[in-house]
Amino acid sequence: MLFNSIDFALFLPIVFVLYWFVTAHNLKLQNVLIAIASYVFYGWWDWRFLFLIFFSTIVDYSIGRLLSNEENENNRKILLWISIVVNLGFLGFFKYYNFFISSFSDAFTFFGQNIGIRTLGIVLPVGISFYTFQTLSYTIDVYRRNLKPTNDFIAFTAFVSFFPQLVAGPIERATHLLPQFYKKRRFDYNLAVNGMRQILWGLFKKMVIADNCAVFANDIFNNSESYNGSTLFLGSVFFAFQIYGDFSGYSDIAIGTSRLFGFDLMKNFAFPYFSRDIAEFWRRWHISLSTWFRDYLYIPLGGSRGGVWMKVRNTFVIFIVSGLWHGANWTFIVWGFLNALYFLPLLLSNRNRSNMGVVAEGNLLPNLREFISISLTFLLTVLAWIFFRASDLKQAFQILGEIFSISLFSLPNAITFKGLNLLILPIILFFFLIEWLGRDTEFGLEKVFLDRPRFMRWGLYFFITTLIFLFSTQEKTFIYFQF
Amino acid sequence: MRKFLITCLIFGTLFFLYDKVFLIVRDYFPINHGGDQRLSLLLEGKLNKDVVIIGSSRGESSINVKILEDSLNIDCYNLSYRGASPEFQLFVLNEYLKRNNEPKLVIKVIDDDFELDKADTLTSDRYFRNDILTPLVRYGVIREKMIEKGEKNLILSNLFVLHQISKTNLNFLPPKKKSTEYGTLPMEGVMKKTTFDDSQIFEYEKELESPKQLESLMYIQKLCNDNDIELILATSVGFRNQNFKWLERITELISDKTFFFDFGINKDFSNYFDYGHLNEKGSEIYTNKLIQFINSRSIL
Repeated sequence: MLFNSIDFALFLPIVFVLYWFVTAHNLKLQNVLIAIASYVFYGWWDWRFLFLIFFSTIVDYSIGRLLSNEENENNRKILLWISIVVNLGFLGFFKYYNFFISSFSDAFTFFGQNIGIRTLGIVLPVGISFYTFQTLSYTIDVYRRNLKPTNDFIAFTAFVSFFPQLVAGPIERATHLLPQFYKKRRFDYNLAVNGMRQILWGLFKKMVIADNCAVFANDIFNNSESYNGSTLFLGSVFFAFQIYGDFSGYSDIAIGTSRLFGFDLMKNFAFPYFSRDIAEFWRRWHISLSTWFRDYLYIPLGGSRGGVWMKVRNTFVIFIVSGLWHGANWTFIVWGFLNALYFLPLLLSNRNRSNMGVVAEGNLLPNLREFISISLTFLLTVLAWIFFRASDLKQAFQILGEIFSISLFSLPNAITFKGLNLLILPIILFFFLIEWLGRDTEFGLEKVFLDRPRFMRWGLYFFITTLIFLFSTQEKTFIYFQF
Repeated sequence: MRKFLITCLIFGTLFFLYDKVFLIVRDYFPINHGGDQRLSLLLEGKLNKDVVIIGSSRGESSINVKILEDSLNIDCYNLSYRGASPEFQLFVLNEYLKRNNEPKLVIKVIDDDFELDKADTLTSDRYFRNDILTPLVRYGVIREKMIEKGEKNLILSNLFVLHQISKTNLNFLPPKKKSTEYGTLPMEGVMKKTTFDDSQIFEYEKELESPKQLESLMYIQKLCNDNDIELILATSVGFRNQNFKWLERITELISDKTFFFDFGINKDFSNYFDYGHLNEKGSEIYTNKLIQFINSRSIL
């Protein structure tokens, strides 16, 4: 079920009413309702893959129970590895089997041997990378004794399948989300209203910004050979807005929806395009994944405790694995590698934590230095997105070749740059303004106009809702579902 | 909770009322036709022609309505739309017959062997010229069609005017006026002289036909036959050899009351705008041959 669908618009109030009016007196019943609702939510897309979630749930719940009774470190390690192998095994099969087989086959063909291995027609279960990482966080934390294993199967089922963040995150840690299923939830008016506001902003980001920028980005990337450098550059900028609107929009709707049910999910985006360097960008973009890799991969690999070589190696490992997490394609690996390259100078000069606070804090506008830093970081990000969006490396290099040519200085020539399509430009400006004004809050719209009279506040919400109606195209799936 | 529900209710009610202001945009703002007012004229019953042509871009480029009109001395009109599938053509014809006087003759220009191909972009079941319909939401029939085609949602469309309209309705500029005297006329220009591989062996597989497009083609015939309107199914011409398997198939589909006009082939590049479309000069040849056909069979 898509957040931007009529199905969800009907599903959400039904679950909300049942949750607060029918099951409110009984915590267990509330958790049962969440689990059932989550399975319905996921099954709406394809019920056949529900067994994967259920199987992961049983495996990790059982391993958690076994770990609680096991003191022998070797046995505990074996149990942890069983969980890792099962979870990553599913992920590997569904997501990476074809990629590795075809890359293996291509490598042999390159050396003149045709080994003729066939790929399989595998359907990628939606959100498998997200819930796999979430359940893994449970087993790892239990193994590390950071979390007491649960003996409440219903709560654990609801935790693994919690519908607001099941298919595209934020990837929650068991230490943060699971305990919330044990506590009685009370309805909080302010939290719920804030949740509604965040849902509205998320829908705006997805349906207005992302889907309308996609019109340009898709046209330009799908016909990249016909366009000059300036058009391809603009296409990449539109894609940067598309992917941010799409993914952070999803996170906003997920977090807002959770608030309606009394849950607190972690922040996933913190205005990444206002970052002053790449290190800051990665502290602000897909925070739940970056911190997951930091805690469960970077630190176990030695983090930055070793010498320079170890820091560099671990940084490249993290970025390349992060690229591969996004998709089974060399383009994602190069995207990760490129970001590691961007990161390297900051790491080597120990300046990777120099921009930690809110940009231009207390000021209306950034100073010249901040402005230049933000622009340069955005530019580097846009160039990296080309690899993320391109269908293959050949196309990515063709686009870059054209951008770094004299044609960058010619007039854009995309046929989509005309007429009413261009109405999106002032709307992007409006979006940018709201995000800038709200950059020290949880999400752009959170505090904007909050101190103004209700008619002004509601006027703003009416305006945003109007834009959602007017600019929404047909329901479009979220980009990150494919990951 | 009570406060939250009441707030949501008030917000929803006020938004519902505010939404109705957009009836002004829907019903009174100038329609952004993109210079093509044919469908508006059709829906308002302002066409009433003796001969109506339907088809895709092949229909636009093959027939010169001006020549047809002058020769036959009757009112003709071209309602062909680029990229229009038989399903869309049926929609146009159906609405024409409901709102305008019945024509004496309908000429349906058939595309090449992809006319019914479900794998082809234009005739896939999902494709429909919704972009033409979008600015015309003030007409109830267009709103219904957009719901039927999944472009709009039934519940939302009935509740909110804002869901019915879209950014294309926000055109504050007066609509471009284009001559609507003949509907459309063929394209001007000549394609570059190039070699073209004619050695291709054509096949045709019935299994690849889209049931929806096939049904639409049959229904166009039924509609004309039932209303005693003469119908000509006319092959279009492209700068390549004809697929005889497709011609065989199309003749199987033609009812007894339908005329079949096969232009054949034309290999003179100067008659073409591009590989698939005749230019003004080519359409003159095509139209004259079609006039001969009409006269020889005393169709009118």
